[in-house]
Amino acid sequence: MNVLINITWQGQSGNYLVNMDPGVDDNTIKNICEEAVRAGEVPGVSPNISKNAFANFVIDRFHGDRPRFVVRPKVPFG
Amino acid sequence: MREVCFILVQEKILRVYFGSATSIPDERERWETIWEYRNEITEIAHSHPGEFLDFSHEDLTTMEAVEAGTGKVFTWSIATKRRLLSRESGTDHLRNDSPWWLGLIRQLSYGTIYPDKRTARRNSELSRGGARAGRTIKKRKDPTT
Repeated sequence: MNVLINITWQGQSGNYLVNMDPGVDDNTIKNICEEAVRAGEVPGVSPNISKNAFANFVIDRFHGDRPRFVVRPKVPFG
Repeated sequence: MREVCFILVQEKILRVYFGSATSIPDERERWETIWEYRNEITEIAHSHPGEFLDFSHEDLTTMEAVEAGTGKVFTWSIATKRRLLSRESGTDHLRNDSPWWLGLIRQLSYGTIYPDKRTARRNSELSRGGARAGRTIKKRKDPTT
Protein backbone atom coordinates (compact mmCIF):
# COMPACT_ATOMS: atom_id res chain seq x y z
CA MET A 1 0.00 0.00 0.00
CA ASN A 2 1.25 3.49 -0.79
CA VAL A 3 1.92 5.59 2.30
CA LEU A 4 2.68 9.31 2.12
CA ILE A 5 5.22 10.24 4.78
CA ASN A 6 5.81 13.85 5.75
CA ILE A 7 9.33 14.36 7.08
CA THR A 8 10.59 17.42 8.95
CA TRP A 9 14.30 17.97 9.38
CA GLN A 10 16.44 21.04 10.02
CA GLY A 11 13.63 23.43 9.28
CA GLN A 12 12.74 21.69 6.05
CA SER A 13 9.66 19.63 5.35
CA GLY A 14 8.98 17.26 2.49
CA ASN A 15 6.81 14.35 1.47
CA TYR A 16 7.94 10.86 0.52
CA LEU A 17 5.62 8.34 -1.10
CA VAL A 18 6.56 4.74 -0.42
CA ASN A 19 4.92 1.37 -0.87
CA MET A 20 4.94 -0.34 2.50
CA ASP A 21 2.86 -2.14 5.09
CA PRO A 22 1.20 0.66 7.10
CA GLY A 23 1.56 -1.49 10.20
CA VAL A 24 5.34 -1.50 10.16
CA ASP A 25 7.04 -0.47 13.41
CA ASP A 26 8.28 3.05 14.17
CA ASN A 27 11.99 2.25 14.02
CA THR A 28 11.66 0.75 10.56
CA ILE A 29 9.82 3.84 9.36
CA LYS A 30 12.53 6.08 10.82
CA ASN A 31 15.23 4.06 9.07
CA ILE A 32 13.35 4.20 5.77
CA CYS A 33 12.97 7.97 6.11
CA GLU A 34 16.60 8.51 7.03
CA GLU A 35 17.76 6.58 3.99
CA ALA A 36 15.26 8.33 1.74
CA VAL A 37 16.50 11.75 2.87
CA ARG A 38 20.13 10.70 2.51
CA ALA A 39 19.44 9.43 -1.01
CA GLY A 40 17.90 12.77 -1.96
CA GLU A 41 14.49 11.23 -2.52
CA VAL A 42 12.58 13.68 -0.32
CA PRO A 43 11.98 16.93 -2.22
CA GLY A 44 12.60 19.97 -0.05
CA VAL A 45 14.80 18.20 2.49
CA SER A 46 18.58 18.42 2.22
CA PRO A 47 20.28 14.99 1.97
CA ASN A 48 22.81 16.06 4.59
CA ILE A 49 21.47 14.02 7.48
CA SER A 50 23.21 12.40 10.43
CA LYS A 51 22.98 8.75 11.42
CA ASN A 52 20.00 7.98 13.68
CA ALA A 53 18.72 11.47 12.95
CA PHE A 54 15.19 10.52 13.88
CA ALA A 55 16.00 8.71 17.12
CA ASN A 56 14.04 11.24 19.18
CA PHE A 57 11.26 11.66 16.65
CA VAL A 58 7.82 10.06 16.77
CA ILE A 59 5.43 8.85 14.07
CA ASP A 60 1.89 10.20 13.85
CA ARG A 61 -0.17 7.74 11.80
CA PHE A 62 -3.31 8.74 9.93
CA HIS A 63 -4.98 5.64 8.55
CA GLY A 64 -7.62 5.41 5.87
CA ASP A 65 -7.84 4.80 2.15
CA ARG A 66 -4.74 6.93 1.69
CA PRO A 67 -2.64 6.45 4.82
CA ARG A 68 -0.34 9.28 5.81
CA PHE A 69 2.44 9.35 8.39
CA VAL A 70 4.13 12.37 9.92
CA VAL A 71 7.66 12.01 11.26
CA ARG A 72 8.13 14.78 13.80
CA PRO A 73 10.20 15.61 16.89
CA LYS A 74 8.79 14.36 20.17
CA VAL A 75 7.76 17.13 22.55
CA PRO A 76 7.16 15.75 26.07
CA PHE A 77 8.89 17.10 29.16
CA GLY A 78 9.76 15.20 32.28
CA MET B 1 1.84 20.35 42.04
CA ARG B 2 1.65 19.87 38.30
CA GLU B 3 4.23 20.61 35.62
CA VAL B 4 3.36 23.49 33.34
CA CYS B 5 4.95 24.48 30.02
CA PHE B 6 4.95 27.94 28.45
CA ILE B 7 5.92 28.57 24.84
CA LEU B 8 7.12 32.15 24.75
CA VAL B 9 7.61 34.83 22.14
CA GLN B 10 9.72 37.39 23.94
CA GLU B 11 7.61 38.25 27.01
CA LYS B 12 4.35 36.98 25.54
CA ILE B 13 2.92 33.52 26.31
CA LEU B 14 2.02 31.84 23.04
CA ARG B 15 0.73 28.58 24.53
CA VAL B 16 0.27 26.98 27.96
CA TYR B 17 0.30 23.22 28.57
CA PHE B 18 -0.49 21.35 31.76
CA GLY B 19 0.93 18.00 32.77
CA SER B 20 1.01 15.80 35.83
CA ALA B 21 3.20 16.13 38.91
CA THR B 22 6.07 14.48 37.05
CA SER B 23 5.65 15.02 33.32
CA ILE B 24 4.04 16.83 30.43
CA PRO B 25 3.05 14.23 27.82
CA ASP B 26 3.81 14.39 24.12
CA GLU B 27 1.19 16.23 22.09
CA ARG B 28 1.08 16.65 18.34
CA GLU B 29 -0.49 20.11 18.62
CA ARG B 30 2.52 21.32 20.64
CA TRP B 31 4.87 20.33 17.86
CA GLU B 32 2.61 21.95 15.26
CA THR B 33 2.69 25.19 17.27
CA ILE B 34 6.47 25.09 17.58
CA TRP B 35 6.81 24.43 13.86
CA GLU B 36 4.37 27.15 12.85
CA TYR B 37 5.96 29.78 15.06
CA ARG B 38 9.56 28.53 14.90
CA ASN B 39 10.84 31.85 13.64
CA GLU B 40 9.14 33.80 16.43
CA ILE B 41 9.53 31.55 19.49
CA THR B 42 12.29 32.73 21.79
CA GLU B 43 11.95 30.48 24.82
CA ILE B 44 10.29 27.26 25.98
CA ALA B 45 9.95 26.99 29.75
CA HIS B 46 8.47 24.39 32.04
CA SER B 47 8.25 23.84 35.77
CA HIS B 48 9.70 21.02 37.83
CA PRO B 49 8.53 19.68 41.17
CA GLY B 50 10.22 20.99 44.30
CA GLU B 51 13.71 22.27 43.66
CA PHE B 52 14.72 19.85 40.90
CA LEU B 53 16.64 22.45 38.94
CA ASP B 54 18.05 20.44 36.06
CA PHE B 55 16.95 19.09 32.69
CA SER B 56 15.73 15.51 32.77
CA HIS B 57 16.68 12.95 30.13
CA GLU B 58 13.21 13.42 28.65
CA ASP B 59 13.78 17.18 28.53
CA LEU B 60 17.20 16.85 26.89
CA THR B 61 16.04 14.46 24.18
CA THR B 62 13.03 16.67 23.44
CA MET B 63 15.26 19.74 23.21
CA GLU B 64 17.60 17.92 20.84
CA ALA B 65 14.72 16.68 18.69
CA VAL B 66 12.97 20.05 18.45
CA GLU B 67 16.15 21.89 17.51
CA ALA B 68 16.97 19.19 14.93
CA GLY B 69 13.49 19.40 13.48
CA THR B 70 13.26 23.16 13.33
CA GLY B 71 16.91 23.90 12.63
CA LYS B 72 16.56 26.59 15.32
CA VAL B 73 18.23 27.15 18.67
CA PHE B 74 15.90 28.14 21.48
CA THR B 75 16.30 29.17 25.09
CA TRP B 76 15.06 26.32 27.31
CA SER B 77 14.16 27.04 30.91
CA ILE B 78 13.28 25.18 34.10
CA ALA B 79 11.32 26.99 36.80
CA THR B 80 11.14 25.74 40.35
CA LYS B 81 9.55 27.36 43.39
CA ARG B 82 12.53 29.60 43.97
CA ARG B 83 14.90 29.42 41.02
CA LEU B 84 15.03 29.70 37.25
CA LEU B 85 17.58 27.89 35.08
CA SER B 86 18.05 28.49 31.36
CA ARG B 87 20.05 26.75 28.67
CA GLU B 88 21.12 28.84 25.73
CA SER B 89 23.33 27.39 23.00
CA GLY B 90 24.24 24.48 25.27
CA THR B 91 25.22 26.60 28.27
CA ASP B 92 23.22 26.55 31.51
CA HIS B 93 22.94 29.58 33.73
CA LEU B 94 20.94 30.51 36.80
CA ARG B 95 18.85 33.55 36.09
CA ASN B 96 18.51 36.49 38.38
CA ASP B 97 15.91 38.24 36.30
CA SER B 98 12.23 37.75 37.02
CA PRO B 99 10.15 37.83 33.85
CA TRP B 100 6.48 38.53 34.47
CA TRP B 101 5.44 35.01 33.47
CA LEU B 102 7.61 33.39 36.16
CA GLY B 103 5.10 34.20 38.88
CA LEU B 104 2.31 32.83 36.73
CA ILE B 105 4.03 29.53 35.94
CA ARG B 106 4.74 29.12 39.66
CA GLN B 107 1.15 29.91 40.58
CA LEU B 108 -0.16 27.43 38.02
CA SER B 109 2.36 24.78 39.08
CA TYR B 110 2.40 25.08 42.84
CA GLY B 111 -0.66 27.14 43.66
CA THR B 112 -4.16 26.03 44.33
CA ILE B 113 -5.70 27.16 41.05
CA TYR B 114 -5.39 24.42 38.46
CA PRO B 115 -7.05 25.10 35.11
CA ASP B 116 -8.04 21.74 33.70
CA LYS B 117 -7.27 22.45 30.07
CA ARG B 118 -4.55 23.93 27.94
CA THR B 119 -5.42 27.45 27.08
CA ALA B 120 -4.86 29.30 23.90
CA ARG B 121 -4.12 33.00 23.92
CA ARG B 122 -6.55 34.66 26.23
CA ASN B 123 -7.66 38.27 26.43
CA SER B 124 -5.55 38.77 29.53
CA GLU B 125 -2.50 37.51 27.65
CA LEU B 126 -3.27 39.65 24.66
CA SER B 127 -3.38 42.68 26.91
CA ARG B 128 0.14 41.83 28.03
CA GLY B 129 1.62 41.98 24.60
CA GLY B 130 -0.75 40.53 22.10
CA ALA B 131 -0.91 43.73 20.14
CA ARG B 132 2.83 43.67 19.84
CA ALA B 133 2.81 40.00 18.91
CA GLY B 134 0.00 40.56 16.45
CA ARG B 135 2.38 42.57 14.37
CA THR B 136 5.11 39.97 14.46
CA ILE B 137 3.33 36.63 14.26
CA LYS B 138 1.91 35.80 10.88
CA LYS B 139 -0.26 32.79 10.31
CA ARG B 140 1.38 30.48 7.86
CA LYS B 141 0.15 27.47 6.01
CA ASP B 142 1.13 24.40 8.00
CA PRO B 143 3.72 22.58 5.91
CA THR B 144 3.40 19.39 7.94
CA THR B 145 -0.04 18.63 6.66
